[in-house]
Amino acid sequence: MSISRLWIIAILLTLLGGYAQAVQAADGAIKVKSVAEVEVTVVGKDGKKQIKRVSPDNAIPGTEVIFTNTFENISDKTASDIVINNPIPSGTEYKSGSTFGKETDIEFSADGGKKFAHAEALKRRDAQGQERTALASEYTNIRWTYKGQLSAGKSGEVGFRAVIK
Amino acid sequence: MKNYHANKGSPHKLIALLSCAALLGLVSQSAQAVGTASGTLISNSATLAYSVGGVAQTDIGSSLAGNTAGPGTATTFLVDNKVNLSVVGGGVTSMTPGQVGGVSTFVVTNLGNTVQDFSLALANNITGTVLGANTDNFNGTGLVAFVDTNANGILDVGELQYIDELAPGASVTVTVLSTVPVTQVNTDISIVNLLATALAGGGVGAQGAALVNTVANTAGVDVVFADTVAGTDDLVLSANHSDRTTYQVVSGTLMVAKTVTPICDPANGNVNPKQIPGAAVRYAITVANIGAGPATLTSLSDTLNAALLIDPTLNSGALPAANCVSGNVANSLSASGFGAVRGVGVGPGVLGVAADATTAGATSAGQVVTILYNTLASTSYGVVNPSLAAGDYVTVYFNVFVQ
Repeated sequence: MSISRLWIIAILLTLLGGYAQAVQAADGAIKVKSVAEVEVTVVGKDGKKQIKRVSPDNAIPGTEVIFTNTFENISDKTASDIVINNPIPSGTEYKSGSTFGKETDIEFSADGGKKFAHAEALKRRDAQGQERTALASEYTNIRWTYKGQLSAGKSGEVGFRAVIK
Repeated sequence: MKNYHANKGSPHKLIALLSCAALLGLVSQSAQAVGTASGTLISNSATLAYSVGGVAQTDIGSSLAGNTAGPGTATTFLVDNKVNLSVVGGGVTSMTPGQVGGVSTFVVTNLGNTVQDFSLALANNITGTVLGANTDNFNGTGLVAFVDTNANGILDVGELQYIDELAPGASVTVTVLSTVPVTQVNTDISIVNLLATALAGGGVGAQGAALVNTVANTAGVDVVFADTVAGTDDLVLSANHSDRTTYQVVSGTLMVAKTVTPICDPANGNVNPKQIPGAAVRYAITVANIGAGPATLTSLSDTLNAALLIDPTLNSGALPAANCVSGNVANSLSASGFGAVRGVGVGPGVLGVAADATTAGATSAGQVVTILYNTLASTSYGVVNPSLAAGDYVTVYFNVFVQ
């Protein structure tokens, strides 16, 4: 990393620190958790097969991973305007149609998060300059916008599936 | 009889073809996606923005346990070692009985996501094994599999009998040698299988240790056998893959014929000649290869009846009848007394043209005629070539006078 970049980061951190101080009272209002899991088939005591989620200790190219983000309002104030942004992890490919999240509006980006749109409205230009709908495999980010307000003690869950490339 | 000449030439051509095949193979393999390398850390972070009382708050990054302030910590896991490979055998290799070290090739590809070594095991398949249209009925000997670095078809000092450090998605050509017992005959079939087994990388020049499929998954890089397609001689999920190749015995089958035809007699010339004392008859000795493979001819000898005198000038039999005498120079077709010709088929019968006159390779001493095919030459015969291709013939002819 170059010295100039370090300077920029230092300045940004200083600015963020100042901002954080300004709204210190609200810090820690929401607890954000991200879990990665894979599904495995296990045979229960009754001999029936069950699908179970386990941590991705067995993950090879082709394995489908479920990423789940939970958010819980641990303060005594109601939170609003909740937006969760999750870049698709490097080394994985988003699985089409796999997002979930109650009471959320889900949008995607194919340009690293600069522009978001609903799946059908997300456009890309091909090498010839023709505009077309972006493929699920081209998604770089997912954004969930929580439709309501999150009152104290309430929580929500959003997530998606991606396949290890 | 063995065909050394043809076998000296063919391996070079074969290797040239194989080199091209190997290059093509590598080019196509380079485009083959084999996935994220083992040991790669997959990281996921979500960032939450929110407001309280209409005032935007500082974003909160996620963590595995749950984060309440600041950028958080990425949730991560490691990509495991996916073990998968493919072995693809070549076509049919033609061998002559007794041929040593006949070359066949296989292509081994690392379909996993880790640099690995591969051990190579060759075995004869059991009698009755069918591959394509062929059924195994004998075992080759001296089986050896190796990476023929200099592509000379021979296991040289320093060439490895395992595959060293094969990158994910990369392929390597494995050379296989087999020797055919001299007792085998035309159309005999030997089917051989190559079993490759993925091993740990082990560093350059060192064969790595066996891989063990991790039973209990760990947070580290586990070994995951992912060879879900069985080869010809292996089981799925074994870190093995295999394929078979065919060695087919192709040998010459020779047919020898000797014909006799009256040429002339001193009374009738060449008009309905009779086999009276003083008459000339022509013997033609034809060797035809009616087998499937080439044969190298060495020598042939023929002892004539004591009542026959070899004509040293190969009398053409042309009129007048008075010219029908042994040693007549006016009607001579050959200063050596012999004619030789070769071509396709089982032989033309009796010829008699000056272009067939031999310059070497056919001699007589007393009643014994000797043909040495490795020096036999005439204008129509072409260059000296003791190799007789399948379907070809060689005819040597000469005249004798009935005494």
